[in-house]
Amino acid sequence: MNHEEYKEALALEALGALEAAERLALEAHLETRAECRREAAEMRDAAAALAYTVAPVAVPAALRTRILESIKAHPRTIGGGEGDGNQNAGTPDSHGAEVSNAAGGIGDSRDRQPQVAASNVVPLRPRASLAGALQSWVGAIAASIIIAVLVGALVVQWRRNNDLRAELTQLSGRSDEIQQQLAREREERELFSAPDTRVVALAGTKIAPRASARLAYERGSGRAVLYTNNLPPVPTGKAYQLWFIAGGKPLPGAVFKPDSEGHATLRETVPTAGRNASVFAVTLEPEQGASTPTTDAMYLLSGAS
Amino acid sequence: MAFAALHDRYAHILFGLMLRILHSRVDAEDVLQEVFLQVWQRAANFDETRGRPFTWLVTLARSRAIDRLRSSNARDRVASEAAHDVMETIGDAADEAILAENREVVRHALAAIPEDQRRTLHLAYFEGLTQTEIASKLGEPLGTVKTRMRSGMIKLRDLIGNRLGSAR
Repeated sequence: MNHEEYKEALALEALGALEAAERLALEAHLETRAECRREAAEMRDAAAALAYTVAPVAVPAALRTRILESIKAHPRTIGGGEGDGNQNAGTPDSHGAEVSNAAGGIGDSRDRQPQVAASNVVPLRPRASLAGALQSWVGAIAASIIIAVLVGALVVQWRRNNDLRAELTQLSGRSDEIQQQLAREREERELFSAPDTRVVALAGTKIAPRASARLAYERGSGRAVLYTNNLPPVPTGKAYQLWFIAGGKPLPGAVFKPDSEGHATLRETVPTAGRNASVFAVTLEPEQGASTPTTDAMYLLSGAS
Repeated sequence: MAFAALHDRYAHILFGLMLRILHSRVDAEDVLQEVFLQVWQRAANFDETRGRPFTWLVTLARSRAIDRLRSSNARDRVASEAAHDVMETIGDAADEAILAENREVVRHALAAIPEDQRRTLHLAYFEGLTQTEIASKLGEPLGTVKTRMRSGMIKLRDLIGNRLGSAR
């Protein structure tokens, strides 16, 4: 609430129409603003004046007696015994004598501003109302507990929501992956079953005797897949590159890195000029790839067809 | 004993208020007793620089009555006899004259306030409804209700001005 909103809340506070949280906020504000406090008092006076519109009703004698008896049974102590029916274990001398003393002011002052509780035992105007402060503290604490619980519940709910969302994202990511994998496998199946698909075996050379690979490509479209096995691990900054050698001239293919077991699956489109290649080879190149082989060392090589 | 004088000066006003709010003699008697006990115990907390004694007493009494109203509403309360139409003149004649004058001043002021504003004041003060409860009861936006209450209260304050005599 800003200052204007607090001013607006004063009328509602006087009517007891504020919600608990707003009332607490307003009370805190009033502690600091004398101007608002003055207006609050005016508003409360106006609200209390509504009581004048109600017809007074005589209190039955028995009730009057009960009331006067009950205050004798509850001697008050300095600072004001707070709480409903709170039995202050009063000292013996804080009894009847105090009752008459305390109210003496009222009996004597039949002026137009009777003092509600003039007393020569209890200060009429305590510097700070300890009990009142305590009460608003208890209220404030209760309110903050409620707020804390609500915020806690909100946070729990929010976290759960986030977890679920993360899980959902993960699941839908996983589902996308599976979809892609299925699409790839379907593509490969098509590739292998296509009538003009050529499958070439590549064998490991002397520097990679255990390595082997299969290259399948469709002559018409150039769609190709290369599967490798047992290729040695690549050093940092390096990658394997596929070459199509046609007419003694190597055409660059894609670069790839095998996994720790030397397996790799490379999808590639063979350039038109490479579709009649007689030889396919794999060399170790810089990982961004090269346009012509930077080395003569071949890892995989197809037999000339 | 002078606490008795305090009691005799205000009890019938407060008892009328209790009955108006609670519509139950049993509850009204109960709460009135509670209120006087609190007045007695809290008198030390009363700070006359922060407000008038009449306002302090009435505010305390009204808020205890609304507390009771809310808790007894929750208990599915049985309608009890309404006794607030009983008007009796007791106590000091001069006080009673002032009381009657004040009643006229406030009634006049209320009559000059638009009905929709007056209604919100009554629902809050005597029925103990909060702003949101009033808004939902009237089917009006909360902002409208707040504005009505504020306008009504400002008019009430200005119209009453210093015209109230002090049986305060």
